[in-house]
Amino acid sequence: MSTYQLKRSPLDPIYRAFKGAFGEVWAQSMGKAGLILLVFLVAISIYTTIVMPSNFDSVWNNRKEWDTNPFVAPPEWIRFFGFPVARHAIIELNRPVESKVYLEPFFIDDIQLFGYIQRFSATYVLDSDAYPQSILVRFAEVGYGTITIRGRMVEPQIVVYVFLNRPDGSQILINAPETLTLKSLAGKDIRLDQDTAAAWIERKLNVPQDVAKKIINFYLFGEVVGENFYTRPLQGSYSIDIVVSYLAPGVDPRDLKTIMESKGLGAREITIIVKGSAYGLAGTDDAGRDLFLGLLYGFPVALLIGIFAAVSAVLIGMIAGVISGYYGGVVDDAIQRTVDIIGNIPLLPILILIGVIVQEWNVSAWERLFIIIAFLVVFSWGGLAIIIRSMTLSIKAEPYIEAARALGASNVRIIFRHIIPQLIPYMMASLVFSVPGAILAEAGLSVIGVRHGLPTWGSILAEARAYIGAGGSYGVWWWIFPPGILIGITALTFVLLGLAAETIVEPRLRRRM
Amino acid sequence: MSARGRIPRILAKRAILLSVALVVIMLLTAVILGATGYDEKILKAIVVTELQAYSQALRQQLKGSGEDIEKLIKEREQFLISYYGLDKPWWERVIPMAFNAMILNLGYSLSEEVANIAGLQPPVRVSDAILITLPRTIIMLTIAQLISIAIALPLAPFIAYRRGSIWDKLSISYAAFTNALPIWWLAIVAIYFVGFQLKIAPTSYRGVISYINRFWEDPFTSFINILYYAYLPIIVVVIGILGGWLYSVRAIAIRVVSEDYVFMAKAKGLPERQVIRHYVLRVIAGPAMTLIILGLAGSIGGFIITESVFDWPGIGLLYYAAITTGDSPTIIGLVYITTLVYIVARFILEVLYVILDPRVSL
Repeated sequence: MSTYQLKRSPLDPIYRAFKGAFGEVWAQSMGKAGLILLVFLVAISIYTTIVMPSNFDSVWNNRKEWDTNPFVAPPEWIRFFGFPVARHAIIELNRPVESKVYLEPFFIDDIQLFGYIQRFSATYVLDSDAYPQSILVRFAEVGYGTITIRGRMVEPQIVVYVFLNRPDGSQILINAPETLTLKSLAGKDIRLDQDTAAAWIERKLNVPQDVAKKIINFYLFGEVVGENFYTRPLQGSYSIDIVVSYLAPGVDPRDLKTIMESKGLGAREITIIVKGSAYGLAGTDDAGRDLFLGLLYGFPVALLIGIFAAVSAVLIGMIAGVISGYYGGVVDDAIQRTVDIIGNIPLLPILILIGVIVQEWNVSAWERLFIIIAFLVVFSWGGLAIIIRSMTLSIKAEPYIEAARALGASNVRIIFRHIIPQLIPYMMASLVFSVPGAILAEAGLSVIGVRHGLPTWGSILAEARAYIGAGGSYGVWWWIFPPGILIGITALTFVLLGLAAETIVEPRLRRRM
Repeated sequence: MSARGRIPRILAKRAILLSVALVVIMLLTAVILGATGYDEKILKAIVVTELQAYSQALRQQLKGSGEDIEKLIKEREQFLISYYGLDKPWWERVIPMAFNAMILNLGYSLSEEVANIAGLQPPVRVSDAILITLPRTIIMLTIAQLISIAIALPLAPFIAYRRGSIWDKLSISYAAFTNALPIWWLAIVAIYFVGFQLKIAPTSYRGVISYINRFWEDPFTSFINILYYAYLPIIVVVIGILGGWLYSVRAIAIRVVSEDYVFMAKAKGLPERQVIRHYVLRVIAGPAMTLIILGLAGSIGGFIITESVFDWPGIGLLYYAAITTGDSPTIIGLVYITTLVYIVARFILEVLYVILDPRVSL
C-alpha cells in the first residue's frame, strides 16, 4: 500500500476523477448519444483540418476563386426528389477540331473571318426540365512568346467568338468579341455577354432584346411557348463552338500558322464550364462558393471556439472560486464584488459593441475572432466562481483538511490534493454546459453582422440573411437551414453530455431503480 | 440584536453594493466606448457634418467676403470640438458620459436608423426612442415570457412528480433541443415556412410600428394588425424558452418532491393534485418567483438577435441599430436603462427574500 502511494503521481486523483466521470456519462443513454455525436464532430474536424488548405479562409473570401460555379444554386441531390436539374458540366478541350488558314474571307452569320482560324467544339446535353445558369470559357493553357517572322517581331491579334448551337438549329453568339494578345488570352475567362446574346436572340428567335436580357439563360436554353415570351427549357444536344482567329497585319497567315505551330503557341487547353442549375452536395451562395466546403470548415472552428471559451472560463472560475473560498478576507471580497459586477453586465450588447469595434481593426480573422471570444470569457466565469467558492468553503471545513494541515501540508498541497479533485466532476459538467454558449454566441454575433472574416456557420447564415435582406428570395433553404442545423447538432452534443454529467454533480437526480 | 432588527442594515448594504455595481458597469461601458476610439470617430463625423451644414448656411446668408466666412467656420469648429469634448483626451469624457446617463440626461441621437426604428425624424431624444420601443418589446417578449411561465409553472411540478415517466423524458429532451437551437434560428425557419411558404405571416415585421404608434386612432383595427404581426414572434419565442422554463422549474420541484414530508403526504393517501398544490407548489413558490422576476426583467432588455431577425422594432433592434451606426448616446442610455431594470429587480428579490423568510441571512 505504501509503495503504491509513493508511486502515485500528484495528478493521479485528478485523473481518476475524470475517468469516473466518463464512465458515469457513458452509462446513460443521453450521455452515450452525446459521446457518439462528439466522436463524429471531432472526426469531421480532424478530417477537415487535414484536407483543407491552410489558407482556406482567404480563399473563401476571394470571390474570384468561385465564379466558375453557378450562383445561388441548390444542391444537386434535389434531382432524386424529382426536381429537374440542369447538369453542371466542366468540359476540357485540348485539341482544336479544326486548325486552318483561310485565304478568302468567309462568314459565320454576319461575322467576317479570315486568316489563321482554330475551332474548338464541345457538346452539352440538356436532358431535364431546367435551365443552365450560364456558360464560361476559360483559356486554361495558352502558349505565348515572341514571334519573329523575317526578322520582324510580330504580335498576333486574337479574337475569340463563342457560339451556342441550339438543338433547334439556331446559332447564337454569346460573348462580346474583343481583340486580345497571346499574353492577355492566357488564363482569360470569356463570359456570357447579355447584350450580344440578347441581340442575336432577337434576330434568331424573335424575342425582344430587353425581354431576353433580363433572364438571358431562359432564352439561351429555352424555347418560347405561349404569350408574353414565356419559355420552357429546350432539351436536346447543344454544341458550343469556339472560334479563335489569329491575325497579324502584313504577315502571311500561312507563315503565322507554321511558326506558331512549331513553337507551340496559341490556345492549347480550353475549359468550358456550363453552369448548371444545381451544384454539389450543399449548393452555392451568391458568390458561387461551394457551401459544402464552408460548412465543413465550420466544424473545427466551432469546436475550437466552444472548447477554448469553455476551458478558459472554467479555469478562471475555478481559480477565482478556490482562492476566494480558501483564503477568504480581502481577496474573497474583491473577487465577490467583481462577480457581482460582471453578473449584472448586459453581456450581449457589450459583445456586439466589441465585435463592431474589432471588425474595424487591422488584424487577422483569427485574431479578431479570439478577441471577441476572450471578452465572452471575461464576462462568463462569474457564476461558476460563486459555486466553486461555496463548495470550497464546505470542503475546507471538513476534519480531514484540518488533519492534513496539522500534518504540515502546505496550502498548495491541500488545494491540489484535497480540494480540486473533489471539484472536478462539477467543473466537467459546467465545462460541457458552457461549450454551446460560446458557439451560439459566436453564431449569434455573426448573424447580426459582426464580421470576423472566417467562414463559420454563423457567418454563412449571416450572408444568407444579407442576401435575403438585399432583395433576394427567402427560398434559399439550402443556404439557411444547414448552418443552423449544424449549430444545433453541435450545441445539442454538449447539452446532452452536460445533462448526463449533471447526475454526477447532483446525485439526487439519479433515477432510483 | 434580533434577526428582524438586522434587516434594514442588510438591505441597505445590498442596495449599496448593487448601486456600486451599476456605477461600475456604466463607467466600464463608457471606457469601452472611449478607449477604443469608438465614440470619438462618431463625434468627429458629427462635427464634420454640422460644419458642412453651417458653412452652407453661411454662404447662402452672406455672400460676402470669403475670409469672414472662413473665420466664422473656424470659430464654429472650435466651439463644436469643445462642445463635444474632442479637445480633451477620452478619459476626461468617460465620467461625464456615465454621469449624464445616470441622471437620465440621455441626450440626443443623430442616427437615422435609430430614428427610423422609433418612427420619428432625427435628431431623436434617446429617452423618447427608448420609451417608444419599450412597449413593442413588451408586446412580444414579455408576453411570450408570461405565456411560458403560465404553462411551465403548473406543468413542471407534475412532471417532477412523475420523474422518469415518458412525460419527464419528453420534457427533458425538449429542453435539451431548445437549449441547443438558438431562438433566432427558429425565427428564421418560422419566417421561411409560415411567412414565405404559407404566406400567413409577414416576412418583415417593421410595419408594426405604425399600428402601435397610432394605436388610439382606431384601436380595433390596430389591435388586429398588431396581432397579425406579433403572433409568429410570440409563438417562436415561447417555443424557444418554454423548454428552459420547464427544466428549471422541474429542477426546483424535484428537490421538493423527494423530501420526506411529501413522501409522508403520499403515504397518507392524499390525492396527487392536493399533494402537489399543498406540499410542492407552496414550497417552490419562492425560488420560482426569483426566476419569474429575473426573466421578466431580462425580457425588457429585448432579444437583440431575435428582434433583428424578425426586424421587430423593439429595444433589441434599437440596441442593434445604435451599435452598428455608432450612436454612443443611445448605447449608453440603453445599457443604463436595461441594467437599472435588472438591478432593481434583483433588489426587489432581496427584499422579498427577507420579508418572506426571516431566516435568510445575507
